[in-house]
Amino acid sequence: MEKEITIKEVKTSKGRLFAYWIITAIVALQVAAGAYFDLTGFPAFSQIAQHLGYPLYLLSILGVLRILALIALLAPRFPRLKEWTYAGLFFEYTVAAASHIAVGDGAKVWIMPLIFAGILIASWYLRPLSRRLA
Amino acid sequence: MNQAENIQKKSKARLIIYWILTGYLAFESVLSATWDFNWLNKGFAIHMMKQLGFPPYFLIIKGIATLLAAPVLLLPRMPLLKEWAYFGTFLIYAGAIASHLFVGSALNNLIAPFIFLCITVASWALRPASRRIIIN
Repeated sequence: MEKEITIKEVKTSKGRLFAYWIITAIVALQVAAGAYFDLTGFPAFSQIAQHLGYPLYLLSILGVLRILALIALLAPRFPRLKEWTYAGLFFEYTVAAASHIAVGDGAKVWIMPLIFAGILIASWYLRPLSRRLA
Repeated sequence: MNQAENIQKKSKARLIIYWILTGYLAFESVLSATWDFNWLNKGFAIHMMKQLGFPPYFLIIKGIATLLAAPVLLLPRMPLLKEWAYFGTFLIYAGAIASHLFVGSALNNLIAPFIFLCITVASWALRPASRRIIIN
């Protein structure tokens, strides 16, 4: 079993690993900025929450979740925790896009969270074996 | 011999408990969607959203999400997708509890989401090997 993993690990190309880290760094930066703005009451974030009709305390909940997501995303191993993190962030971006559509915002607005969701899925797809559930 | 029989009995009991909890969780996921879409128990979900300060359209998003989760929980295999469905379900109930705490709802509002949160975790913990990903 251990031998099999080492063989697979060797097969994970350097280019793929490089791409994984670039994309994951973009995701991490986005999550970190989001957490900071959520928790410090950045006016633009409060305005978006109000525009979409969500309560402001939701930003506090999301801010704490984003800090947890950031740690889970960057720490080595913990593949199941990473799976949940990817799921949570994916839900957040898709619900954000759906909410913008629900209040009648244009494509220019709701395409943004979907782009973030796409970047997130790219990071998920490229994650190396040590960060992946069997 | 006796011990082997005992282990077999235990794993059978575990499987039965798993199916009762998972069946109930999937049923609740579908039932709550009919409330969210205001088909059954009319007005309740919208009243709840007002109480928590959420927009009523969020119910449509949540209803679609739980309708997608129910078959994933019930169907065989798909262990990775199940991991996502369980976590989404977990977020809905944990989110409901957190929201009630933030707006200072009466504590009896926490009972239902707390019970469903426990059922979610128990169903996840008891899922049989064919529905589980083993970490390498």
